[in-house]
Amino acid sequence: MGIERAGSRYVNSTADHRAAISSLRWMLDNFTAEVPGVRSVVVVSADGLPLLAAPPQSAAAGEQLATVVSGIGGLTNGAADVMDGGRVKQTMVAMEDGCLVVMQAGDGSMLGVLTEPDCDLSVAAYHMELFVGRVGHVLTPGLRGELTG
Amino acid sequence: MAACLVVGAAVLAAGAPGLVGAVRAGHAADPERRAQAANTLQLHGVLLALCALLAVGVVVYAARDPLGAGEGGESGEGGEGGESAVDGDGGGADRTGAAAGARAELAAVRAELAAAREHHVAERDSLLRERAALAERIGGLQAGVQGTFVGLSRRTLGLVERQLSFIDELEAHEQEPGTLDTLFRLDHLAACMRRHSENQLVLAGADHRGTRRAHVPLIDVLRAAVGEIESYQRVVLSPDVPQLHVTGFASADVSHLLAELLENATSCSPPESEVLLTGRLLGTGDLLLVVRDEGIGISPPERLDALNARLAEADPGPAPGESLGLGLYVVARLAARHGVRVELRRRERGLDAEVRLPARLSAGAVGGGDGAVSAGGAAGGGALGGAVAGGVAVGGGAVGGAAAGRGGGAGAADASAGGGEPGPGRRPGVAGEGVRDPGVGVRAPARARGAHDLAPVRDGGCDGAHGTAPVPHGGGPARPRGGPDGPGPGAVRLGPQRSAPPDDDGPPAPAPASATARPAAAPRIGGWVRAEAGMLPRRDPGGTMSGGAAAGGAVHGPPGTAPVPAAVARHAAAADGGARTGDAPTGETATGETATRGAALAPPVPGRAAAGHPPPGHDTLARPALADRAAGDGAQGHPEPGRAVAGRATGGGLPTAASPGGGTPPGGTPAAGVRTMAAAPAAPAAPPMRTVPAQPSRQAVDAREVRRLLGGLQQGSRDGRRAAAAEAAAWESNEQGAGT
Repeated sequence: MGIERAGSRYVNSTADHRAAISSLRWMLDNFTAEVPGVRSVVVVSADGLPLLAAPPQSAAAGEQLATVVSGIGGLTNGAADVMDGGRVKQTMVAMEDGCLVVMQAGDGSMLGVLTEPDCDLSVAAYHMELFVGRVGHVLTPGLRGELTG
Repeated sequence: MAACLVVGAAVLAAGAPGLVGAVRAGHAADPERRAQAANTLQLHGVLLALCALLAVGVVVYAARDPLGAGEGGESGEGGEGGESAVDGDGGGADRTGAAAGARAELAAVRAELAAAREHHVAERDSLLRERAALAERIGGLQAGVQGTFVGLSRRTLGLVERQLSFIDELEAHEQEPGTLDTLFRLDHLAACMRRHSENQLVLAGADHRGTRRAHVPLIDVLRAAVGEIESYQRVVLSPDVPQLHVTGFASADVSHLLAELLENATSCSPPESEVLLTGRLLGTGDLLLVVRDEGIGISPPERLDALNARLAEADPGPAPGESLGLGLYVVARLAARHGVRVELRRRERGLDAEVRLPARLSAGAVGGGDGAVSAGGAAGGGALGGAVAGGVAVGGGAVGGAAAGRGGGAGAADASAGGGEPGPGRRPGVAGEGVRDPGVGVRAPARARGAHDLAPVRDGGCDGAHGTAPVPHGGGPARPRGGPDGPGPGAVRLGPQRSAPPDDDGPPAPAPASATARPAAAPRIGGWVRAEAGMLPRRDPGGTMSGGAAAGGAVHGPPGTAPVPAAVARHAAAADGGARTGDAPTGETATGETATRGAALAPPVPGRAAAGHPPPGHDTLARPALADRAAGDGAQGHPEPGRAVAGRATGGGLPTAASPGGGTPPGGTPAAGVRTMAAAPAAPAAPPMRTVPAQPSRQAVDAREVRRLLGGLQQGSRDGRRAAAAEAAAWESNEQGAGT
């Protein structure tokens, strides 16, 4: 696939980084706008740092969600390793008042979506996959440096 | 003015007496004066009359038109008054004219309205016609859909029936235990499928089964119900079910209804718990059947009330998925069909589903003839199914037939008698005819299943409870050819069945024994019941499907050799080797393994009984003991397993009466564990997920919810991935195009 190409294209220059970041923001905002019933979306780096969050929320809340997502990701990845189950595709935590869906995006980074209880998960999952497919290759450690720094 | 006139009149009147006096005077004086006075008097009279006339006229006018009178009064009298009267007449004419105009106008409006009304009527008529047409169309569509449903279900049913008959045929010729096991499972699954197809028919309001004439023993109805659910192993049939018959036309529906309730109970209770099916006769003559589970129950009491209310409705509405599960919906409809009352009752733990059959659906003592008929029918089914000599055939029905045949009218509808007698009857057969031997041999195990429970009992030394030769009985199944012990089983079977509650048996036994004896009795009978359960009312409707009897026949079908059980026995015995050598605990564990294996083998029995009498968990367990015994090491071998079995029997046998904990021998716990193991392979994935969420319990709802969520998630992510991939591909090709 064109991931390497795209990655090189995006990551090589700072300008490209900026473009990538802005497009990420934009896409994330679109995501929350397009999918009814999504409470918040967060993109977490492999090491648990919140990269992006939408809608913009308080740092503490974003941090919390990012921590949870990263923890779930770590746990499920470990479980998959232990069980020889291959890559973890997605994890869902179904709560009484909502769902948390975690998906792998790119190498190690994760996309977490918190939804309302009545959210149509098929729509949410569709857009999550779309998002991951579009920007997964962008979420590289280099970009993370750009975002957090 | 009138007043003036009146005054004038009064003056005139006052003058009159004077005139009259003058006339009188003139009368006396001279005629000339007298004539003058008379003239004056006449004039006065004329004036007076005129005044009166005027006054009357004025009054009349005034009364007619006060306004005009007022005017007239102002301007004078006489002509004026007449003029104003003419004025009043003119105004009336005007008004009349106006009224006429208004009337014309109103008439026009009325005509208009009438036209509008006509129009609306026409419109309404056309709408009504349209509505009727639509209703007709909807009715047609509904009928069409229902017809489709019914057609589909019938077709499925037909296929399943054929499948069942093929499986039966295969079973008849199969001797490899492993394959047989698979076949038995297939058989059972097909039976479940058949029930679901029948559910569909019930939902569509159709009924596929022809009416059965003969009464069916209640016990057979119950067995059939148990045999039609997936986790039949977990159902314990109470031994003290009243010896009644259910009228033929209701029997199939009753067993179907019970099957739904049982499935509900098994799917909503933990997989290791048991579901108890009991029945008793009420004072009113009604029959009360209770399905008791120890499951999650129904949480808010309001919900329970709502469910009960809906269960009581004849047609609980069009949305079966909403508040009533599919299973309960079917139950409600079936119950309504026969006037059966179904009620759910909450218990401390779990749920009681009470089914109250009105007295008219049950026949207490049916004539021997009837019994013979039904039994004969079953036997016929057996023959159809390719059983060897129908007489040998085995199922409860065939047995009943034998009994009836032999005893003539003496059968007296006593199912237990029917079950009991064949024992002896069969033995002779065994002794006499080689052909039947295999059959008997095969049957023996089936019976042994019942017997194995005895074995433990005997091992426990509490056979005293039943007085009658359980030992020989136990031996009988173990060694199929052991001719002479025939009476044993017969007697034993009679015992518990006849003397209704096993509790009665308890007392005579030695104190310690009685504790065990009683539970043991229960399972044993259960076992017996299952072993005998040939006559499944549902299976042999119309004799098309080989009944349980047929299945039984299939079992011994393989003439001569290797009755399945024998193979099983060998198998189990091999597995059991370790058990015998080991000490108690080891033995138990080993038994557990065997039991597991046995469990794998067990389904055959039920499935085999095709009619589906379920060997419960303990049956399974008991099997190893039996196998053990069959292997020849009768004496030393079984104490341990026997104990374990006994313990288990105790633990599981009386969930109703006594607390399972109390009186359970030490073996109980491990036995229970063993049982769990045994049950696991037998009913893989039995948990609610797989079964129809008949009862919309919280758990079931959650499962559905999770399934829905996950399904959506999966679907969405699959689509999303595809879309993303397509996008990436498009992008890539674009980029390539740009690069070149």
